[in-house]
Amino acid sequence: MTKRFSPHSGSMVARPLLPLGVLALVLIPLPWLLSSYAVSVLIFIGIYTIVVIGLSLLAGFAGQISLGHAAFYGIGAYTSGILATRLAVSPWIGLVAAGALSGLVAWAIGAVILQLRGHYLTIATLGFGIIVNIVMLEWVAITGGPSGFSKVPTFVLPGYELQSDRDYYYLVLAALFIAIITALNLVRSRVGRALRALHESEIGAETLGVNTTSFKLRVFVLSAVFAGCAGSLYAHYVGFVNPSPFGFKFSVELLMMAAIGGLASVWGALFGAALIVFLSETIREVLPLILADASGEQQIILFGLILIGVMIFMPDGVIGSLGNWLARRIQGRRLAESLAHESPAVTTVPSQPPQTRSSVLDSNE
Amino acid sequence: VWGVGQYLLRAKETVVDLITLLPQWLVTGITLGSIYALIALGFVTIYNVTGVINLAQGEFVMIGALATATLSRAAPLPLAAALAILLTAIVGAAIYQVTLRPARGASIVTLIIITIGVSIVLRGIALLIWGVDPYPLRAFSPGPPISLGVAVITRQALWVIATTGLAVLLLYLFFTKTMLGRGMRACALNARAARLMGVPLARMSMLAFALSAGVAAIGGIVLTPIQYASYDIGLILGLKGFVAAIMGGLSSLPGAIIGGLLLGMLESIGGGINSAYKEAVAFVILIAVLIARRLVRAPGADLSRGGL
Repeated sequence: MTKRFSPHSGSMVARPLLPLGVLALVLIPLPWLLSSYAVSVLIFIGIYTIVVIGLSLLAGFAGQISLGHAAFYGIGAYTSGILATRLAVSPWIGLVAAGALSGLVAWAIGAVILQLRGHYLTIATLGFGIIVNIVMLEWVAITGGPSGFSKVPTFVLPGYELQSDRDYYYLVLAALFIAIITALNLVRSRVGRALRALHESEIGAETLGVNTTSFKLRVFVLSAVFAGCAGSLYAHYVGFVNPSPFGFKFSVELLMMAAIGGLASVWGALFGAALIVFLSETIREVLPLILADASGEQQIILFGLILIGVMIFMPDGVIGSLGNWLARRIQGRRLAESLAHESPAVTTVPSQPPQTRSSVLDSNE
Repeated sequence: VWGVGQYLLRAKETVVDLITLLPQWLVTGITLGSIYALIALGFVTIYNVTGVINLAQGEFVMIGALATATLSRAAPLPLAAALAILLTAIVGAAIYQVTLRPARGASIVTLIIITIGVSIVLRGIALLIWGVDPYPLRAFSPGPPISLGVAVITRQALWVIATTGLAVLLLYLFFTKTMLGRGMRACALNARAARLMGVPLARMSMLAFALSAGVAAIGGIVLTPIQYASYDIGLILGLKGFVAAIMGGLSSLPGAIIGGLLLGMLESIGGGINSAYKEAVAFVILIAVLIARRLVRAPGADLSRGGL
């Protein structure tokens, strides 16, 4: 009997190695081919992707959305930046401290809130994010208030200071690969399977002995660690820190990147972050040609429309929906082949599409 | 001894200050709290009927306020306000039809993200129509503030409180005395049973959005003479209305009203003590409420409850 195709079957680590290798081959030569501006755009995509991977894991595998990840990102940026500028701590230690502090804060919130069934984490992170942003603005003695602080030093390797965009590109690329490999291993681990079960049915997972609260908490903390480390990379790259990039708006943008790429998809996170950054860069250049008095704010209409459209028609995100479509195609072909070769008994092979939502979509069109 | 005496004296002065200021803070708090209550009522209505947490709720406040400001240049204020409320209600119904109805059956996470998208689009459209400038609206009945002995209250604040009271009364009558209102309550209690009894669920959901949008618009209109309206007021007002709804348990209409008034007063007191962190008060309360609910394990609203 033909084995049913499942996108998640296969060995633990072997499968992602190929796409990772291809990605590395494509990304490594890029800074030698592109302008410094393009490289800086890619650096931002890399930094955002690290945060979005965390959000994506949280949404896809724990069924929770966070509206406060800009705050974890900001905590990372401020921690690392303040340690380096005030106390002359090495940025590498700052990077670790940034991840650790973000994770610790997430643990403190999650340990209490995640025991409530439902979407209270969304609400709590929303409130938390706004409080953190206000503290950044008002706690002038530590944060420097609305203008923040500058002269954040760069990362230093033994005998070499990372200064150019190209240096930072490789640093962010390395961090991104660590994040992707961590995430893929989590997805394929026993914990990952438990989390998927959790997403399908929380009660079902609990009945089978999965400690749902503990898993959700771990993923939430991991996503905050990712965000904190990304914030540290950001602070040392741009060289200054102020409250404005860490507000509610950026939390929404991060969520948008995760949702458009596809919640639960590590590759979707990369796609979503790249799409939103490319779009906002393009719109920033094109929009003033169409609307004379256009400010950057108007681009958000387009983002909103894209977000609504993707959520209605591709609730698994662009990458997720393409993956489902491919899986269905392959499954359909295998089924057809097996029907041609074997006895009619094979028709009992489950042939429903992996996502029930797709059928709703079909009936709408 | 001298130092301790000084300290006690200063502490006493502070307390006296607080006590004399408290009535004024409470009056201000009730005024703002009325607006929060109106927004919270909309949250609860939509949540009860459809199961959706509508994070675009604050944008209805903004649309109502800005539409009134524009219309009142050509029409008398009552007519402008009525048209603005109607317009906002239509926008609310249209949003349900265009964005949430096609996605019905999707997970709650998806629906919440859709409402975020809606709020972004509405804010962007408002920016295109009205620009970044704040719009004023003159007070409904101009005149000096009225003294209550321990505190003063502006005439517009009285309008806010009276309008909120009237809106709540009308909503109460609607939900208890009319067939439509009873149908909506039936959906909230048990959607499947309601459908079996012939209540059209989709139409009730659309009505819930229209009603919530209209009520939020009322809040925006009475608020504008107190603080100017601009395209970006919706976000923070909506979030505070949401906090009020959570304080009231998210599925209770009386709870939403009490939550709104309480939030307004706590915020006013908090802002009076430390104005820098005034905006944070609501969100600190939010997290405190969630932690309290976890500790007490009250059988309050379950946000994961399905719907539609």
